[in-house]
Amino acid sequence: MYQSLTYLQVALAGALVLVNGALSALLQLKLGKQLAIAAVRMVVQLLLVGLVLRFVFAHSSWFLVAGIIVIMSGLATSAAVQRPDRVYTGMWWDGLMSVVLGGWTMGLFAAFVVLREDPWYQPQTIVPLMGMILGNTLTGVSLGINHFTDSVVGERDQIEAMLSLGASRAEAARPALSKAVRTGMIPTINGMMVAGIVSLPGMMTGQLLSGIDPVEAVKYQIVVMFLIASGASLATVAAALLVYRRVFSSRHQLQGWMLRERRK
Amino acid sequence: MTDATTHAATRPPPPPLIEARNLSRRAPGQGAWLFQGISLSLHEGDQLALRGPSGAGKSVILRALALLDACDQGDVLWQNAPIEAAAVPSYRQKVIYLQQRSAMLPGSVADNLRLPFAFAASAGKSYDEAQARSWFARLGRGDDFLTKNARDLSGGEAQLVALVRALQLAPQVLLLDEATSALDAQTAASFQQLVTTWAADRPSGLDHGLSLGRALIWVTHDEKQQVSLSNRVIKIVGGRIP
Repeated sequence: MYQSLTYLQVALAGALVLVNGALSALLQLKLGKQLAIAAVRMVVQLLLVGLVLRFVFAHSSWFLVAGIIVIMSGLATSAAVQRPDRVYTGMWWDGLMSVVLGGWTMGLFAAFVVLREDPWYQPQTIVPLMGMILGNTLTGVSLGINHFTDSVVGERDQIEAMLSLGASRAEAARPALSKAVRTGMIPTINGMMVAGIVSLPGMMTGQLLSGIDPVEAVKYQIVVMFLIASGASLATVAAALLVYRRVFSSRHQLQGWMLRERRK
Repeated sequence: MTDATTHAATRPPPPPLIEARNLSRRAPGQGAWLFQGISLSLHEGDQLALRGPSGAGKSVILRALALLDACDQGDVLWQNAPIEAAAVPSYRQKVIYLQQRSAMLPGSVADNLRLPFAFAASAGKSYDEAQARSWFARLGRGDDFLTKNARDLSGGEAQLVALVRALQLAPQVLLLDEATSALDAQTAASFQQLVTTWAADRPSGLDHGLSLGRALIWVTHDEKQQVSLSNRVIKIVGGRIP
């Protein structure tokens, strides 16, 4: 059954970072400093999240839940737009709209159609659920933006050849759009393919650790997988379409100059 | 500059096919003008050469006439009328821009020829394989050329396919941006021959009050080509018509 951990037990696990440190020193990887920063960051971030969530769970109120979801969406957007190789003006807003469309639609669907808990904003359910949905949505957004902008830059000559022969912007962008959406959906499909085989999904693991019946945990996990899959797909399509509307003008012109290489 | 010199003096000249009014464009994100204050008219029968040193702005002007780039100032008119956003694709089938190395799309030569007929702007037009064969025969290419993979074409062959891909849409204006400069002499001659035939074979009369006439603009560094293919020359210096 569920076992509460003492801080001593946590510290024992934390000592394992010394194994990484020793390896870094032994193999002269020069990762010691980064490792120390990463370990401290992880501990501080998670403890803070724990405290915030304890507060939110204790004060079960819809505006606290909504506030936390807004903050999570902003953070997911910032993470999503940091990954693509190219940047453009307005990218953060496109990212946010895609995250909101993919993530919030699925969150609302889960709350009002699938789970129907009372109250609907039950923080113990909604917050972790949105965390998982938004985490996957951000991957979809960054893949959608990255692959679409890659195709537009890499296939610029073909796109302009089509435009020169009378293609509308939608017709000229279609191959790049399909490619971007396809590539954006592949991680989701792969995730569903291997779910439960290669590793147990995080949420299911959590539920098993807290003593829930495995079949009950699996049912929850199936719901989550479908929410994640649809959320990520919606977000990928939205992101690719939003970039498309910026890069192709209403006069059917490709404005590839808007896309700048990210300074590494 | 005078535009009507080649037209009969006895009756008013028909409206120009293309008219550029005071076109100016800055480099994106920078302040420098790529070209400024370009006004020119292209009438049916015109074979206009744009001449000038490299970097003078000839190619960007040609792209602006094809509406491929947005201008900061000025207008491009088609037969005296402004071109609405929704009409841009069909304008680009009347006014086709061909660059130095035209891109081929995945698939065979025939796939590349069929491609533009899938666009909404091609409604009412259909792919005519017999016509394509006869053009390629004139260019010294056999029937099996149509089944060749576009990836396996040489630069010169790709340029010939690009020309036929454009001509089958029955354009009224060709904008040729150093379209033969990467070709060997023989291929360039075939290309030029087909362009000349197309230009001479112009349907006469009006359709819904609009001219069906043909015209072309060359951007070329080849002086011989300028003499043999053009009946008007415009010099471009530093993005302006001096």
